[in-house]
Amino acid sequence: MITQQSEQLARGDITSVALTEHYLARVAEKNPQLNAYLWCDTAHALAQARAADQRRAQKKNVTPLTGIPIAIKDLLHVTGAPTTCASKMLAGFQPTFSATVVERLQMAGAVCFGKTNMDEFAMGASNENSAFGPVRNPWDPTRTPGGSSGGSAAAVAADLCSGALGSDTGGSIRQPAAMCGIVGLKPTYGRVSRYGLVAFASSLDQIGPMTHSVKDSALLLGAIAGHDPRDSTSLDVPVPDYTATLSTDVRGLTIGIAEEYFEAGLTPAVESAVRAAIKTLQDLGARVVPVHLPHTKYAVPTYYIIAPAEASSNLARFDGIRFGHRSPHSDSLRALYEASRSEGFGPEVTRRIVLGTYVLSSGYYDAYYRKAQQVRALITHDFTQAFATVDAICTPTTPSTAFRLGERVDDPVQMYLADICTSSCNLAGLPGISVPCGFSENNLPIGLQIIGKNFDEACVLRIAHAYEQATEWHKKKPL
Amino acid sequence: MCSNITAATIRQVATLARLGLSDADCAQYAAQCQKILAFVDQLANVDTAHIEPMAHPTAQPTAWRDDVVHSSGEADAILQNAPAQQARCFAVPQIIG
Amino acid sequence: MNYEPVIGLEIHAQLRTQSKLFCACSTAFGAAPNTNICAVCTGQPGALPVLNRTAVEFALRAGLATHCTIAETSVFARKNYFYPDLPKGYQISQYDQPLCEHGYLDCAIDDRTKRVSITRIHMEEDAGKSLHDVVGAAGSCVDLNRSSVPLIEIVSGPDLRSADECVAYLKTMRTLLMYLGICDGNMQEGSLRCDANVSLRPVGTEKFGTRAELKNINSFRFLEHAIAFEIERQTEILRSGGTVIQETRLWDEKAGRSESMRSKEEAHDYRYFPDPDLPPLIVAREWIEKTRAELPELPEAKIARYHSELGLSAYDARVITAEQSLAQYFERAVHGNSAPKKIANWLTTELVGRLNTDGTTLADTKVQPADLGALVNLIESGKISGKIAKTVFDEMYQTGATPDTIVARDGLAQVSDTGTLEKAIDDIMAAQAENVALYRSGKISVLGFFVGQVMKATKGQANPQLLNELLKRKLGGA
Repeated sequence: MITQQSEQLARGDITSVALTEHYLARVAEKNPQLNAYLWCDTAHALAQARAADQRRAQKKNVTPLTGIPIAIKDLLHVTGAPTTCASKMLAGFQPTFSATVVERLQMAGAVCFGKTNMDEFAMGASNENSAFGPVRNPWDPTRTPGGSSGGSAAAVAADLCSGALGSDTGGSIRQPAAMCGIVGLKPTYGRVSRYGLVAFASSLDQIGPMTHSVKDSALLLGAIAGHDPRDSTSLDVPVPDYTATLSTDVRGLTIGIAEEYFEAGLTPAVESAVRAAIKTLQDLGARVVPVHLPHTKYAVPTYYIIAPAEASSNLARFDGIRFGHRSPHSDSLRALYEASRSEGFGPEVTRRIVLGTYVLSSGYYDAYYRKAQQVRALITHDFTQAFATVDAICTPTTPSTAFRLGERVDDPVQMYLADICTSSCNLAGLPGISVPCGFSENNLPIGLQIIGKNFDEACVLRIAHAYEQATEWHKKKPL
Repeated sequence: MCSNITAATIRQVATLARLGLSDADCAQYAAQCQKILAFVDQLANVDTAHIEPMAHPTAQPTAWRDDVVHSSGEADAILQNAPAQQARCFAVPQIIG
Repeated sequence: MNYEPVIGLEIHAQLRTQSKLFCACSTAFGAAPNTNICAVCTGQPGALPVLNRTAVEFALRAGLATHCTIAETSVFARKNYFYPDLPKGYQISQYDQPLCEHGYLDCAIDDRTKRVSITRIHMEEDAGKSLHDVVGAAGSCVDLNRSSVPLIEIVSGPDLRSADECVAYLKTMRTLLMYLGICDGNMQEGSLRCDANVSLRPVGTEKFGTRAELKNINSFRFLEHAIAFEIERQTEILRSGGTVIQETRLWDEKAGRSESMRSKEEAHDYRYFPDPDLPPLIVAREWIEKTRAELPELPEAKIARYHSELGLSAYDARVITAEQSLAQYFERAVHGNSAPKKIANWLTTELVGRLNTDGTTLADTKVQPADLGALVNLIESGKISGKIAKTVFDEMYQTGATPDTIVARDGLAQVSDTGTLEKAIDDIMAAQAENVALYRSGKISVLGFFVGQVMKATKGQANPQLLNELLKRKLGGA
């Protein structure tokens, strides 16, 4: 969408105002059912659209993103808009600064179009943990869109924006992208600045594009990537033109397949779609070889120690004192803390804070947190070894297609296993993309994941683009 | 490792994390956390002798800032978000001790 | 049963950088509440820390000056706890991989030197301030201006054995940090704070007793009183067969006692883990060596040099080096002067004495160091007498005029010309024949009378030694 609309804007076929109004109408029509947006303000959007049209008219600093409405996950700050992180804890919070990625989009002239729904504080795989109601999958509204960037995924899939930004800590961009039939990219850790992203797990979080096509993804990534002096974990690595290296040619590339990812309790539909996709890549000329990632099965347990631990610390700032929800039951400091936090946080967030606090606590730190960081090193080493012989690794993105709303809410471990194919990338810091690669019998999207070496998004995008252009999945839309 | 997570454990953790949980909550979270920890306990099977814990996923050089003052211009906006303030300060119940 | 106090001090020193440790807000003291704040130091969601290079440089100086081993890789860790003045709900500090370890500081206590071990020095950010009893407020108020100001925490070994030793250590450390230019040492403003861990053990034993932690010590006097009180408090408990409770106690100077901070001491579980928002702190060997080479001459070295090269007594050397400004003044006065001991004397007794009386600081005195040197030169060369010098100095102090100007203007030059003096003596002797006879008959105390007379005749400018010599000769019959 972004690519085509950009061309249309450039030709003068449409204006940004018209495009934005189109999406505003779509949101008015579809959002009540899908609940993809938590906030979408007409005046806020149109002001930016008008500015973009003016910019284009004056031929000042026009970029491919100028005038393009991009939805922003409500975990990222946009000044002038509230940030809720889908939590009661931040109801009414007005950010005092915009996220670096938002500033970069604004510099490119994009329209920051609304804040999308998500699992509360990015904790979840189904967008059922939102304090403001779940998001529904546009392909089947009885099902979840995946999570935690469920709102962004649904918004893109249901054509409620040109593209969106999401965040990914254990799979939160890729998994909903797979379940909603769109493209979702988690960049290398440190590729994109986290300044202005409300932190969930600081050593795992990354912001990334969620789009209709791989080319759109490359465009959006190019606009937001790059070193930021305000984020000490962002790396000073040059940002290539990701659209320039897109190609339909994958000859000469070697793709690794790790059987460990196919032992992950995949549904037959997913397994056959993904294997067929790999065959397609082979037919296109890529060499496919087996690789071994022996510690794969430890990724989810490792993730579910490290992520809650870091989250328990990151969420300590929500105490009712400087911002956010303050309980009326605050006659003592202790009561203030406990009541505000219990009233503000939902059950999944509470559960993870409890878990995270426990694994960091005295007597358990070595057995849990330290141990997990050691296993993390081993998982990373597996990949380093594998990448000595391959350019990319293909896996399924998720073990199953979108599950029904309410199906897994009572079984946290079952829910956590949704991350089985995606969380290893976050642990190792590697870039990973999900592209549509098929549908199940009941017309639910399936995603193919392509994992690359650190800072090799260009290769990952190239393979994804070649695959996409050789297939028709990306052209299918939900009704 | 297999720890035994009881409601009392959860109560202790909740105190550290300043979460006001009811007894019923503590019992429920205890059951859930027991399951989760049983799941993550499989890490004990991994041989990690001599492996350095990995705190950062990508090798990162130290990031520096020069010692130059820059006024944020956000002070007033920050105070505006305060649930309770008094004379430009964040108001809290009396701090004892 | 005799008990030996075992005391360790934890000193928190604010580093005098312009901006905070992890953000660009000003560290200036005394601003209106919550004005020097930003998203980072108020713990806003989405904000991230970025390390101040100069703060690290300052911490390096502290580590090198105390002979610590500097870790080329150290780690920032989160210390997690809830308190209103701690906006993130954790303090960014250092835990098991600090920047500096295993150093020492030699302190002079009376006439001996005590070597106090420094277990570690690490970097951390300061918390904000909680204000109680604010007018119109039902509870307490939090000001985050101070949040994230850079600190170093200097942890001594449990080597101190008395209140005097503690004070000496704190004074020596404070002076050192000020010499290094990294801390302004202003204890009233909280630039330097001290906590003490105090325990007792039977003399001659090795095992440590239970210790109490004393907080809220922000002056040398408080420290002395608090330590003395604590030693006595614990001694009484042990002597009466009781057990010392491990607790934190707050010193109340007005009441002259400490109070336990919490009735139910909550064991702190800080859940330290490496801060994922900050890469490891890597300090290149070249930077360490450059910092070492650029360290200013430190008090220990100065004291040694003043004593061995300039001939000052160890005591005078310590007095002058105790304040860096005094040492700098002294060195400028001594430059090109041949009597450093005399300068030291004038400085410490005459100048500092007057400054203390009228409350002026050394920085504001009208007496320039070079002029003090010049004055001493005039005395040494015999141009003026010591007595006259005092009057000259009075004027120098009041007006800042140079000694040469004053002496020339008032003709105060000492009369050291033998001929002139002999003539004056002859004149007096001629007019005092009786007293001459008295002297010659054995009443040599009459010499004083003659000295006075010649002095009067020469307006006090006769060179006293020469006068004495000549008088004795002439009166004696030569």
